[in-house]
Amino acid sequence: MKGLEAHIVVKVGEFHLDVDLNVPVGKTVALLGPNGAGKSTIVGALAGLVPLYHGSIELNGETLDLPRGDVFVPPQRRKIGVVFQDYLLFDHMSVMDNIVFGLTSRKMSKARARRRAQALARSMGLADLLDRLPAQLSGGQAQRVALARAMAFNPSMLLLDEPLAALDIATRNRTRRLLAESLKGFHGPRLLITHDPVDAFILADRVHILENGRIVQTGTPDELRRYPATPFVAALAGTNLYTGDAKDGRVVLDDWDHQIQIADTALNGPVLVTIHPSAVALHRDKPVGSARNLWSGTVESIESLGDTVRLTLSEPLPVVVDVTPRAVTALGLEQGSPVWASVKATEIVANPACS
Amino acid sequence: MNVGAGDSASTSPSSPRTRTHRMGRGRRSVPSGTPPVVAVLAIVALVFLAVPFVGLGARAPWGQLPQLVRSPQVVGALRLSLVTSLLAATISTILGVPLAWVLSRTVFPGKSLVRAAATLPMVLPPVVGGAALLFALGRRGLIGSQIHDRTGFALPFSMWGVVIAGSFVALPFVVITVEGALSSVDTRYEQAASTLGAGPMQVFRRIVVPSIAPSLRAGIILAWARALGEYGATVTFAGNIEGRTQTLPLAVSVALEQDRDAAMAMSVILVAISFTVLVVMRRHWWPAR
Repeated sequence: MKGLEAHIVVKVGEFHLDVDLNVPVGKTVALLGPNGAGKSTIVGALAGLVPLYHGSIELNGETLDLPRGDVFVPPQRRKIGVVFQDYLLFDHMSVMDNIVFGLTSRKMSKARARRRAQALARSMGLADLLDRLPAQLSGGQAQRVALARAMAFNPSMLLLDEPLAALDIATRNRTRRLLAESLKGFHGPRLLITHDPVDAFILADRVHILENGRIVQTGTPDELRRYPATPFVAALAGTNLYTGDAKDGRVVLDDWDHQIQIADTALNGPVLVTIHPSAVALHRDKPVGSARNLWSGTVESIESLGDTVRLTLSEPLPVVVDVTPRAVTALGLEQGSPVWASVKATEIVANPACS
Repeated sequence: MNVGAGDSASTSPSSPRTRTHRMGRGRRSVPSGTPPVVAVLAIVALVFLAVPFVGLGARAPWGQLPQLVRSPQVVGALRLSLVTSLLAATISTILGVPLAWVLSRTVFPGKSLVRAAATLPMVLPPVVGGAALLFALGRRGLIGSQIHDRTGFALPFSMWGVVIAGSFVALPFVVITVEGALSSVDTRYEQAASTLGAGPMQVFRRIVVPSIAPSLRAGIILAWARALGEYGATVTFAGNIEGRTQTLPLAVSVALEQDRDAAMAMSVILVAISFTVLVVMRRHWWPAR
């Protein structure tokens, strides 16, 4: 069996983690969850830093941890490239020495390791940084060096622990795009650990939601948005995310035959557009007003979230909308109802982004 | 005595490894009045520390110094002192670093007892240490008798006796400084190295040692200085045999009763060596402010 197949059971004091993970070759799976959900424990278990209590970890058919069978492969023999939270670059070594670390520690000759590191650094745009010390790198550069270090020794799998969490918003969008490219070029299974739905939904093919040591829901970003299984998923997945091209305050969406008006007219090129579900207003009849985004759609689903009701609209633009129960009654909305939706351009957040 | 814990110049700003000195710098910028009593006592302390050296400097036979220093007794004692103290520092490092590692990284019953035992020579009167060494490693000692019966070799009253006595008193300095540094090191870097394929020995050599290097250096130099100045344990365990076990401090004490000028010349040498150590290590003990 190719890829990662793991049943991770770890007990840390009172905390009990029990997670089934399956990451096929060439796919990125994201584990999305809040702090304390058990994300770092999963990183530790897969990397071999925390032994399993029960279950098994198998990578490309090789058993890495099987308490029942008394199998435990130590971290240095697992061939899993890990990008750690805070990167953990070795401060006393140059960028070059950081990147070759995974090669020379496996007894590759220094000269060969350096040649390979140089080629990798060139392809990742790091060639000019090789002589620097980690303290002399910007956050985005450090992130890419950490990725290069984790990929240099040709690992069978990539494990990314909050790879973008340490970056500010602007750097984050740029670095996310570079990360997406690098991930595409890596042919093994890729596991992304994050607390940020944007990272998960943009970078991953499948998203697992981790809460209290359990996977509470799994799906594509779209499935999670439409059918959130827990209030946490609803809050997490509630944000409407679109990618597109911006020009003169207008965004042509990549995936939908629709244009979105944004307030920022200076923004050009690929953007990531987010619309908060409560920013969308619904109308029975075509309204007259100042909202620059106005379109008609059909109510696809209605679900009560307690204080609010979550509706999803279908074509031309799938969008999740949170309204009050009274609004649903007042507008007489039900599944299949035609409806007008409006959003003010100033309510829409657009950032330069990938694709 | 916590030399260097948390002093590593090579950490990123986000790393929790850098702390102490930055705080110290911040505190300095807030001026606070010095009470007159404190100022007076501080001056008294300074004078108290300086007076002996002034006395030595005033009475030292500077004119005859080059000639005194070249006398066979002084040259022999100096050479023996340097050789044995360097050997003692080496032994202390080779044994002290692993002991520090075990004390800092492993959990076992009776650990605090082991730590106390490891630092005992620091507080023990050196003469008692020397006596204990004699009872254990002397020709009729617990272990020494076995060695002597089998090989005919006896540690006491030999150069190796001097080395053993020096190592005994110097070892705790390496253990304490290195253990402090190891406890403040962020072990996640070691985990990162292991995921990159480095085995325990490689992690130790390429990650741990560089990150504790300033403290390790301080520990080694402290140990060496301690072994160089050692008197009580040496004279008890190794004796005071000119040309064999008479190190510089022992020679000074002998010379004080026979040839005061020679005693002062040797004292000047020891002060010069100690002072050089302080100058070399000043960046470590008093980071740039």
